[in-house]
Amino acid sequence: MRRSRDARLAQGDSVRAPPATRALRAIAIVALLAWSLGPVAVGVVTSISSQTDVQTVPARWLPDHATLDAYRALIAGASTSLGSTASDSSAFGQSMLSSVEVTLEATVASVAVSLIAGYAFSRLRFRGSKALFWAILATLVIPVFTLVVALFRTMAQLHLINTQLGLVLVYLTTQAPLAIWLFYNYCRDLPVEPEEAALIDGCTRWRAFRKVVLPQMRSGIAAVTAIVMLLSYGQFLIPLLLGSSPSTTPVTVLITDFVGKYTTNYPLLAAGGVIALLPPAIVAILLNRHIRGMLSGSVG
Amino acid sequence: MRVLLGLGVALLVGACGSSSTGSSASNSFSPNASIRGQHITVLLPYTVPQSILNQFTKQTGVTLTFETAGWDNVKAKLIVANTAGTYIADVTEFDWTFTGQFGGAGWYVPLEKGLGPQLLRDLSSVNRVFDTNGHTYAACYSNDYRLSLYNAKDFAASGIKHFPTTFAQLSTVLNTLKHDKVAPYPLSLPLAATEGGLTPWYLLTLAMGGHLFNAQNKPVFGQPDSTAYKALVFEIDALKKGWISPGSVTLDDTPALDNFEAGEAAILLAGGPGNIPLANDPSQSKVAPNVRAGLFPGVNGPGSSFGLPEGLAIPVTAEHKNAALAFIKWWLEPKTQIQLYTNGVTGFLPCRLSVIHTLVHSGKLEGGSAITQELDHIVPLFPEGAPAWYAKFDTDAQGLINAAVEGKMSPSQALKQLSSDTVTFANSSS
Amino acid sequence: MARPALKERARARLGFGPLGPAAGASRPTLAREEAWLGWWLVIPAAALILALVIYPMVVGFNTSLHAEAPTLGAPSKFVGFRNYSDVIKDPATHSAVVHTVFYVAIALALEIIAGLGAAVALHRPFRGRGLVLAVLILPWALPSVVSGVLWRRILASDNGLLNSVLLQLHLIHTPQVWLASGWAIPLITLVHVWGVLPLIVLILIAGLQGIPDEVYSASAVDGANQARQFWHITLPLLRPALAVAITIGLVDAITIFDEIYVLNGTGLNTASVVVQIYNTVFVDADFAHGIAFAFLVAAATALCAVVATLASRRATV
Repeated sequence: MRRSRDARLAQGDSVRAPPATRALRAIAIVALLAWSLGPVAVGVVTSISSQTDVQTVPARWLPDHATLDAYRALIAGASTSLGSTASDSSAFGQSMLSSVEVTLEATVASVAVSLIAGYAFSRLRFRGSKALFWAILATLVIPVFTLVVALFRTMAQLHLINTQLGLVLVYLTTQAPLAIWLFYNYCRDLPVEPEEAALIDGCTRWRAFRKVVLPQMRSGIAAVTAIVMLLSYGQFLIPLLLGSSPSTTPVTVLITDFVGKYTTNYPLLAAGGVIALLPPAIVAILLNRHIRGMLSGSVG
Repeated sequence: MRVLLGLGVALLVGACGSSSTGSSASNSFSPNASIRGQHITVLLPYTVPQSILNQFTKQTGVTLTFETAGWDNVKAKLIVANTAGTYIADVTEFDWTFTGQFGGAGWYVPLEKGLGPQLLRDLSSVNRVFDTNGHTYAACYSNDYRLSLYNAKDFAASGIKHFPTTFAQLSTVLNTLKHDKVAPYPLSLPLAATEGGLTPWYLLTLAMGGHLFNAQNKPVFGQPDSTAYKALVFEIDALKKGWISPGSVTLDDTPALDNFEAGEAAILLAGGPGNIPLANDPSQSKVAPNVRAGLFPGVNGPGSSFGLPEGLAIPVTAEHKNAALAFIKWWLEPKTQIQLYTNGVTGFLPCRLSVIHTLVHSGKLEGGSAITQELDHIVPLFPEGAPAWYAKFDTDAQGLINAAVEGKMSPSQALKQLSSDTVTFANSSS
Repeated sequence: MARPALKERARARLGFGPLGPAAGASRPTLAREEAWLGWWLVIPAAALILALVIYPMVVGFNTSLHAEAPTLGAPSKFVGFRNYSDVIKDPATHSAVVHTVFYVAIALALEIIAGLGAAVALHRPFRGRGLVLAVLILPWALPSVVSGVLWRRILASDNGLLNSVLLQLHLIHTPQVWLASGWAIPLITLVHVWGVLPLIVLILIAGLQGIPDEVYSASAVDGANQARQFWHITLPLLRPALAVAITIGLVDAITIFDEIYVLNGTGLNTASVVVQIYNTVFVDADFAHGIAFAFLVAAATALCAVVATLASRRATV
């Protein structure tokens, strides 16, 4: 005989909701998917359209003939004018490369620095740790504008303007507080027993960290790495102001060059947007479980 | 550990030092100094074909790094670097709106001695917009000024033989065009609360024989009998009389050009010489090849117009000032100027009168005689160069003029408000 | 029985007796080792933040207390807090603040309503849930600059897709210049919410999953229907998660910049406080006022975040 819903709930079994609720949920899910993917789909479709397709009024949803011209122009470089700035043959490719390089370097550095700090704040006792912890977190509210001129001058004096190292260091300082916070919370939720056991067995603190805690943190490290990667890739104002050479102009800055008042070349702009969104999309989809876990885990 | 210590020491050392890094303090040029083998960086918001840039290296032995960024981004970078007093490039973009702000702050090297009187004369009155405090801070590399465009076919259909030269004639022409309905609206005029929508008001004021500012850069448009007031009333009337579409109040300058190219209006009052080849290009414009240039009308004959050129300038933090000057001079050579106009990528309209005449005579400069004739009527918007507070004034004016055009304020209210705001801006930045 | 004993010995070794820290012979060394390691592990982060955040902030604050000078090194008059009062009195600031209030209000309303709806729909397991959630994160993962670019085609004036749809549905007669109209701020907020919603939804899902099923079954026994359950059980228990979601949404909306910049530049009609700071610093080249403004915004943001957190946590279970 079919058990009652409550009986099933009491035994922890899954409960199938009534059909009306399920239908409603299905509609909500479809709406969410359309909402999340819609603009991306629009971008993709626009990028394979031609200029005339885009300029017809009222707009056509799908192009007459799909074309990869926009991509060709971006990658191989055409001397077409993109509004007020002409597309240089290597500018887009170089900026993608620069985005990827700086993102990888900044991610490795940020995760390394934040990992040890987060662990230290959550597991180790030392004088002033609490004050230092809150001081670091407090820097999260400081907007970039307050720092930028003095930062520029400091960086110039250290000969770090227009260098990837300079960008990496600044990304690091703006991203570390959040990453430290995430690692701190994550460590707090990890069981202490393995570490305690190692210490009893005679390990030094550092060794215990390396051999026991670090492997425990694997999934958290993956998650924070993904999050920091996305943050670094999305940086815009800092590289805009601290770099003007191709190797320090990431794709986020280059795209704003295209978006001028006079830009009407939508296919080209959309193609740039689509190529630019591929790295973060891949990271987000591959590591989505870790990201979700980390973000929702820091609620409590 | 050592790295951190090193970083700390470097910071201390850096913090103690006060002046900027690695730039020569002198602001004068040594024309005979050898520049061969030096390296300079140029920062502009436009790409230039490498083949043209290579000619500079071949000619002078100076190697070149050419950096680009979007227009707004270039300005942001220049402001940050110059405020911090550090090197960003040897030659940079210098827009006419920068004159008071950048020149007045002492960020750039005066160029008049380096360029020489002959070159300056040839650069014509357009270059005066880069003058302030008795110095010239930039050399015009991309000419731009305002003149009118009209659809000759529409004119012919209405029996109008010449482009109007006075405002009285303009009224007649607009009424005729409206009556004959050769185009949905006679006039395309951007009036949005943007830079492009504000320019017509500047233009009309100058064309009607007035000024916005006196020689001390103090506002003169607040009085009810000022020319600026009449110019604003002209815009409001144009809306009322149906000379321009109601949507003009949110129309920016590029869409205004697009409308004209789509045949929605017979006259583009505040156009530029660079628009003409585009408007006569059949692949882009529906009204090709009927577009002609017309001198901006005035009170008793063609009126004044103003220039909005972009120039090349040398920051005081530049590392190789003589090589930078050599670059600017190379850029201004006639053969370079002609290449930069005709290569199909840059399309920089030259500033040198002699070069413009050459291009007109060889048929390469479209638009006919109006293009060169308009140059005789160019006056600077600010007699003493755009002041440091120009950006604030511009932003404020965009909102207030648009409010008056939309009927949210009366024109005299708007201008009075703008006038008092301007006084505040001028006082707070001194 | 082995584990408890282990724990006792571990605690003893680490210097903790049954009643707390004991002055065991092993304690000073271990504590010092711990402190030593602790400091070494946090020094990299602390040093970098000190050099590249604290130091520039101090210099910046100093700049904001002086009159505007052409360069950082140039001598300038000390004016105390005059720049701050200038900014507070400036009409451009007022309009930017008004715009920001709208951005925040619309963003929070959309995020909470849509966030709750999405979280309720997604927190229970169903086939394909993993994939749906993976797709859901996408808007959050993209740089907001790129998001703005994607949305531009939709919001474009002449032949944007929004215009096309509305024209074909005969809801409007001519294409509208959305970003210059009264709809500009709501539409830009929509783009912003598109990017932030995934984070909000994840937080709310975590909150929902923290509510034990027994609570629902108990109330079902008492005769509560789904709607009453939601209102009287779910929402109160969701308060901590809502608190976090609201705080994050609030701070993100107050500092909105990238989307506005890509969609409408520094246009006055859509300027938020951060856009106005950008205008002051990078268009007017007025660092003294700009930095003062930035500090004011930072202080206001911190205050709002604290108030929001406290208010939402007021009645925590």
